[in-house]
Amino acid sequence: MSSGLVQDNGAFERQLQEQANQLVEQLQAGDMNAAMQNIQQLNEMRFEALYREVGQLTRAVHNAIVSFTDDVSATELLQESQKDIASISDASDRLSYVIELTESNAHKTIDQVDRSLQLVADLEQGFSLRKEMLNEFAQLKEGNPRLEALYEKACGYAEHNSGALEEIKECLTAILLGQEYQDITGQLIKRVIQLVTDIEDELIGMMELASRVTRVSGIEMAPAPQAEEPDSGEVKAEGPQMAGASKADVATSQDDVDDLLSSLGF
Amino acid sequence: MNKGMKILVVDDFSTMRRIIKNLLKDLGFTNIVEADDGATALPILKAGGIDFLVTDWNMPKMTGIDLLKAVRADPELRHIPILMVTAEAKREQIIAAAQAGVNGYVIKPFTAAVLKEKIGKIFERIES
Repeated sequence: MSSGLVQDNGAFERQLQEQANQLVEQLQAGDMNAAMQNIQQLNEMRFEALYREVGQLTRAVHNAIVSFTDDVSATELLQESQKDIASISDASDRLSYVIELTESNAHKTIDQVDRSLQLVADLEQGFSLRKEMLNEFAQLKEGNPRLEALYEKACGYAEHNSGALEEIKECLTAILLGQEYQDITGQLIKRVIQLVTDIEDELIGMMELASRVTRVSGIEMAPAPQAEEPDSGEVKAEGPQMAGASKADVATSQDDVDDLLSSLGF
Repeated sequence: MNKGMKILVVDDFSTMRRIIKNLLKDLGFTNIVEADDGATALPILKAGGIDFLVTDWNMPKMTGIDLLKAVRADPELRHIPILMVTAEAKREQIIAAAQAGVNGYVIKPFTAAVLKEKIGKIFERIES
């Protein structure tokens, strides 16, 4: 595609030189009518070249978006899911699929966490039963040094174990909270899907415009600028803030949020 | 703080609803209902019986900030304490939520300790 553009540019430049020479001749000869016509032609030529280039670029970008699907489905990573991939027809659908996949996997993980927490609760119950038994044991051991020693061992073991159980619960809660990523990445991906959809719509609009303009002679300077979204003063949702994208107006931690709220009297 | 109070958790991501629900359960709250955006949350609130609202901001149809405003504008609902749990972290957004009458603001990703602390603070203030 790029070589085509260069060739077109070359042809454009040659014709421009030719017409410019003609224009000088016409002006020197005092033929104003022909000179004006020549200027008009030059003008049209310039727009034509511009629109051809924009049209070609637009088509190239559009093709890149469309062929994105084929490129990715060929990779080994996704071959297992080829059945699912086959039904995905464009980049936006593919991104939606990422959301679905991460969501279902996050749910699977939470299922396991729930099950593990239930098992921990069962163990805790077992521990409290054991504690009762130890209490009975404490009464029996009186006056028997061997039982006393055994009792001390059993108590030490019980203490050690209950600490581990507490730690497992903390780990499981951390795994649970780790699934937060799904919400955050999902929100970011949804925004990219919107962006891809918008860009493609705009591209198609540009292609239509480019083809229309090159067909019609007496070029009119094209589309009315898009009306900007009126600023209603409403504070809108912006999605998760990216780490590293340093912005002064973004609260980067819960502490910042707390400071800001307390400065507002909260 | 009454552990039997009815809590409505509003988030469009089912994973996040589950995480918040699990954390609330861990804190001893068991009476929890869910909604996936402001538009489905409002009828549940209007039906009555909700004691505490936990909501996301960025949701389709009706956002959390609009839900917050709708609750504060309704004489039957305006007393309900509201905790916002959201990835929206711009200063102007936090200020807007505060001005609309939010009781607490937690940014995602958050920890269990932060959630617990904010809920504790909200009810400390209400009960004092």
